[in-house]
Amino acid sequence: MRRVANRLLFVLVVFSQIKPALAFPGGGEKIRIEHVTPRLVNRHIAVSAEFANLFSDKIVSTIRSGLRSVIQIEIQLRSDLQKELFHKRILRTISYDIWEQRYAVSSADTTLFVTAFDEAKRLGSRLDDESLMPIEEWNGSGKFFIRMKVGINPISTRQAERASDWLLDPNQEQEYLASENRSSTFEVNLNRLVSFFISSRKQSDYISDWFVSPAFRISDLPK
Amino acid sequence: MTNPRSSLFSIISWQLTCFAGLLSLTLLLFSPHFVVAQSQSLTRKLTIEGVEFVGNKKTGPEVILRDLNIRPGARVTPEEFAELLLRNRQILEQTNFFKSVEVFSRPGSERGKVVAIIEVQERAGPFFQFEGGYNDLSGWFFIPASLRFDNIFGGGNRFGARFLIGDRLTKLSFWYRNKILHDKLILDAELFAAGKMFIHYFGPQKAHQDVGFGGLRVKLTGTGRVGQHFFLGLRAENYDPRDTIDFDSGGMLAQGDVPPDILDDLQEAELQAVSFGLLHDSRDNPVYPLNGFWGALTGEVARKEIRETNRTSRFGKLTFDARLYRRLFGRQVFAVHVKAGYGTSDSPFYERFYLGGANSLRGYADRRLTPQGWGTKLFLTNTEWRFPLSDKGFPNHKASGVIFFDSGGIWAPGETPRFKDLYGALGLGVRYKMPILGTMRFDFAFPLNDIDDETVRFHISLGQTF
Repeated sequence: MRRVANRLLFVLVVFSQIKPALAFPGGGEKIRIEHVTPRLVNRHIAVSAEFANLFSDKIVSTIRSGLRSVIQIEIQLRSDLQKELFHKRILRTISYDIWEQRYAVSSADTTLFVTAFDEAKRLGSRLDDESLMPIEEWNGSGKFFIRMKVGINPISTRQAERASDWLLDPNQEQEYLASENRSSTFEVNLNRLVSFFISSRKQSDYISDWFVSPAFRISDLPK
Repeated sequence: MTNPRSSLFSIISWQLTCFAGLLSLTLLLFSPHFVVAQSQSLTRKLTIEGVEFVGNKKTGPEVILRDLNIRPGARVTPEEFAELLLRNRQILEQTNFFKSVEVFSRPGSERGKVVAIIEVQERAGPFFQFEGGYNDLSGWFFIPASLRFDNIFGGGNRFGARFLIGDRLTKLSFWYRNKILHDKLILDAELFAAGKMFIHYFGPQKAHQDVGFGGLRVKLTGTGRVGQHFFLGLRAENYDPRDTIDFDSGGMLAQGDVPPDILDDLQEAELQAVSFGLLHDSRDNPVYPLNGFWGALTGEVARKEIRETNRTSRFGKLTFDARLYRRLFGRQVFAVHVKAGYGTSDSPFYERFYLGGANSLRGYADRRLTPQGWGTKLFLTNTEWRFPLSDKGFPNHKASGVIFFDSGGIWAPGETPRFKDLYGALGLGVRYKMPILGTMRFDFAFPLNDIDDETVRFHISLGQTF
């Protein structure tokens, strides 16, 4: 009886340390990638996609107060041998000009201005025929697939945008915090330590899971 | 009579002027308009109307606000506001009061006003922490059991218990930290019992002596623009040195054989001390400063009473410690550290100065340059040329290198400091930021004075040297 009680106590202690790390913070709906459609456009492999739940109420309110949010999309084109053929990172910023009362959706080379948030949301939540690589660079008749991940950084500074690895390494900032201000000592919060080791399975509120498309051949792609 | 050529010329020039005007108007209406509007929206200032808190059930807003530097009424650009929110999220995460901290904002009551929203998830109970570190006096130490009750009742207090074990130190302590007197002062208190191994050098022979000690330490540090530069410390401790000194090579010195410099300190004693200090910190980054100054001047007066004989004595100590950082060309940093100390000759050896080691004068073993009975006068300089070995995230980058020159001297009571008594070392090192542990430091130091026939000494430690 005592052994059982001890084991139960041990499980409770371990669970109390691990549970907070496994819990999904915020409890909102998770960001999803939907309708990923590859096709051939101007002899390039291109992809279209839609993202669901990218804009939570908190993010909308933050954008409307005049701060910029950054959407980051990672796209990988892989062969069926798990080999990465092509990798593209797309950054988009969404901001609201409270003086002009309009939204700006910016990518590397274009800025679109709209007055309705729904329109800004629509522009930010989709990829339209994003060109990946010319078909000439693809030799062989094998299959390949697309791997995609999307995230939104609710508050972004220009400095943070330049170091934009947060999507692939969301725990980077926590590591930095853990090591900050320790000139000759270190301290490890056990909750954070558990989070650190299981972080590869844990995803943030603001990042989708990797989406993997079904494998296909170039000859199968619609034009 | 009008010249037809000149009339044709005026018509063409008038048409060209109209065309240029229309073109300018078109450009003004379209693309330049965007440029102007965009730059205005980035530079026009917002007014912070207030700060709202979400998720704080037991922690009062005043407790959260006292750590924040967001002030309602401040006017900031959107970029500055974003930086302010992110910086304050870091500050709150470092308090350890919350499991998670998120920052958002919402539009204020009228256009141009904005409200900061801080969403926290509070800790329900105490938490365990594992700690460790290194210093020259205690060597490597670990704290396998540290229990913390930070903000347990929501008042913003931090207290905990920790058990520390190291190669030269064992310590059990209970500590408390909170802001008092309307947040004008930070109170730190520690009740502890410890055993420390002190190293003595008798010529080339290394020996150690265990000293048991315990007591209460209280420190009051000011806050605010002026108050942050001052602190006051009080301590009441009991020291019980072992009356034998053991040589590492075997054998021991019994009380009768102990040199007179140390003999007085072998008896159990009670010590009460008051210390005061001046502080200044203008570093731009505490972890990897590029520019700025950090300095402290500390003085202490103490009373020592030998328990067996009730004989009392007084001693004092003055320490000056200053660090200066200057960014040179590119990402190179020049950093210099100067430390000087003076203690009266009545001070017991365990209150005196030492020299040598990874955080002191590199190139020599820990405390290797310390005279018999330890020093009452100290001078130490560390000069470093720091350069990044990885660029990403500078100045929070992963790896950096350093070329250094250390110099210093230490003198026993009655000795007069002379320039020729100074020791020196040259060296190079690497700092690498590890997950969890923080910055690891690896230094190869080449002593310039011939001690123990060593040509190079390798030091491993944590964090920057200074």
